[in-house]
Amino acid sequence: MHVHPAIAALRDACVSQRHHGTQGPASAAVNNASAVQTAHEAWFASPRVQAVIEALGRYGAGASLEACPALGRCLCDYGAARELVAPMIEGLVRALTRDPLSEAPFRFKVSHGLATIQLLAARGATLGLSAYEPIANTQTADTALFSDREVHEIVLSRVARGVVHTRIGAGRIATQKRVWRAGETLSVNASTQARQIHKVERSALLLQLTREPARPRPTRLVSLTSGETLRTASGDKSASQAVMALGVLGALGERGAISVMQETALNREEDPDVRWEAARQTLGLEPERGLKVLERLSEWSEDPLAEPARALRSQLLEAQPELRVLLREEAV
Amino acid sequence: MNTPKIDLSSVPGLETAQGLFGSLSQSNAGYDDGVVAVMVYVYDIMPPPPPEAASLFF
Repeated sequence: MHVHPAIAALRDACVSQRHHGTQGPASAAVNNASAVQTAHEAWFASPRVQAVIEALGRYGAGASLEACPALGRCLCDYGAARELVAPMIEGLVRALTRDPLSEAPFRFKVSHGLATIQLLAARGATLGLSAYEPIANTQTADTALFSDREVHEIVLSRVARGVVHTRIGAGRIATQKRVWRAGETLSVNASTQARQIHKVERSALLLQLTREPARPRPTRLVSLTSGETLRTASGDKSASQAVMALGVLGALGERGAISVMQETALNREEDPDVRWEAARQTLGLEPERGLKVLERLSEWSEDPLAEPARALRSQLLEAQPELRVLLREEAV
Repeated sequence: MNTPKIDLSSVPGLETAQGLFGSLSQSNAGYDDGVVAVMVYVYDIMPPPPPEAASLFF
């Protein structure tokens, strides 16, 4: 088998490719930090970045952007924004040139024409960079996404053209064409406003600050012609993670999780989709306890899950009469 | 006694169920940037093992 020398060297160096925290640079557990990790740590430890992290924490906890000047300056002052980001990019590019197989210690995602990395995160606030590359797009947007978050952006390079859609009442959306040049800023409350970039010249780099509430409302895909909500998705990342985790535990047959599932299903503070998934997985793992959960839920008339629980219980007992034997035993 | 089982596929989701976080896209707008956050479903809860364990795969 042929192994590229660069990959062989990477193995020998025992460099961690993935061991890093969610908010900071590579942890001390890494034996030999890669050049990229070293560069990132140097940037992360700089007084300027530390001041921004401290401000991001306060902003994430609910302070106004004006009350967090170390952060606020980066989103309204072109020079301050570049001074924050340029050392990171320069250090990273130098390190990647030397060590091209290193993984940058950031969360990132790449989609058609768009690359996003998360630089810093604290509580519900994140600071990231998005690079928009020119793409051929002949379609005209007929939908827009409205999500429950506050967004502040500043253009770091080039020019971006697009629109801002604003929901101005039931079924009505006002659209304003915009051109954003380097140094220009944009702030939207994304639950009522959606900005869409349609075209960039060469590429456009944006520094983005977002803050979401502790329990974000659903994200809505809205028709621009009728103003109608076409689809909704959870705006709460942790709730979706919980739904996924419940599905995984159920698929693994993890019986040790049944008690937690029961508690989750009956916890009225919890997200309804999470509670319902917990009830479903309890039914799958242990029908007896699952049916008891449905019974309890159906007794709470004010609960949004009461009616679905009642209907599901009847449906299951009708389809599988043998389940009735389980109802005679105390399980919860 | 054989305990009756319930097939999960027979247990529907809520009628009001929403899509998972980040599952909506506005790709027809050109750039799919409607949800800025980077979604990581499993990594947050279960970070991968430290480097020593990785040697098992070599």
